[in-house]
Amino acid sequence: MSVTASGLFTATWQDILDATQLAIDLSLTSHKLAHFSNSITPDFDASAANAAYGAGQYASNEVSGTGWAAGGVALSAIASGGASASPTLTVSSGSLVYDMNDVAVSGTTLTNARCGLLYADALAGNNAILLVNYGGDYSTVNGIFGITWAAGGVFTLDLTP
Amino acid sequence: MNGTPIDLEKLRSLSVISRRSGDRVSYGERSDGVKVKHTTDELGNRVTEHAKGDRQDVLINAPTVQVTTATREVRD
Repeated sequence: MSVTASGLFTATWQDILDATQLAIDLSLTSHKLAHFSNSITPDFDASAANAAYGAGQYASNEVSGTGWAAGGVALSAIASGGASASPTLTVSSGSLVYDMNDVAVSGTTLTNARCGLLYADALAGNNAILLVNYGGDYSTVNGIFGITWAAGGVFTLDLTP
Repeated sequence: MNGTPIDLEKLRSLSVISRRSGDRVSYGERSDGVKVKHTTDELGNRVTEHAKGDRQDVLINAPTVQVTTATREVRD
């Protein structure tokens, strides 16, 4: 069991694009970010039922605690001072770019967070959107858990290579 | 022939060896004067220990997840 990479979930994207018409709106601030330990083994090709918070690999081994409750923190309050991360989906040089403000949640006590699962909390299926691999196990003590997103954005889809 | 410390120092001055591996440690001070110790690992993730209040922060240097495609016309 281990987290070795970040990635998107094929089942979620299939359901967005096919007759399922999964209503993933990436501009929503209701999406949540939940931490998981290195005890999970992400499967980016998991079925829709398992590519979801509270299902499959994400049914256990969540890292939560003071300041970061189980279920995760919504993007509406995940930036510094409890502000919204204000996610955006734009087009830049032929690529879709999903980006948001940096994460900074204060007063957290978390042990061995290894990755973050961004999922659609507003949908009944809690569909997984993205998994971010932190690269190691990180812990806070009554402190800030922050994420500085790269200059290129949270994720990009290059549709015109 | 093995490299000598002088050889290694010459290489370093030419920027062939431009970054030391391992964690980087730095020290600072909060606005209220409390000393802090920053430990930044090779991924750029930073753990900050505070001298008072038993506090530890984490700042993740997240990667951009890039999904790339190749547009091709494949004919049988």
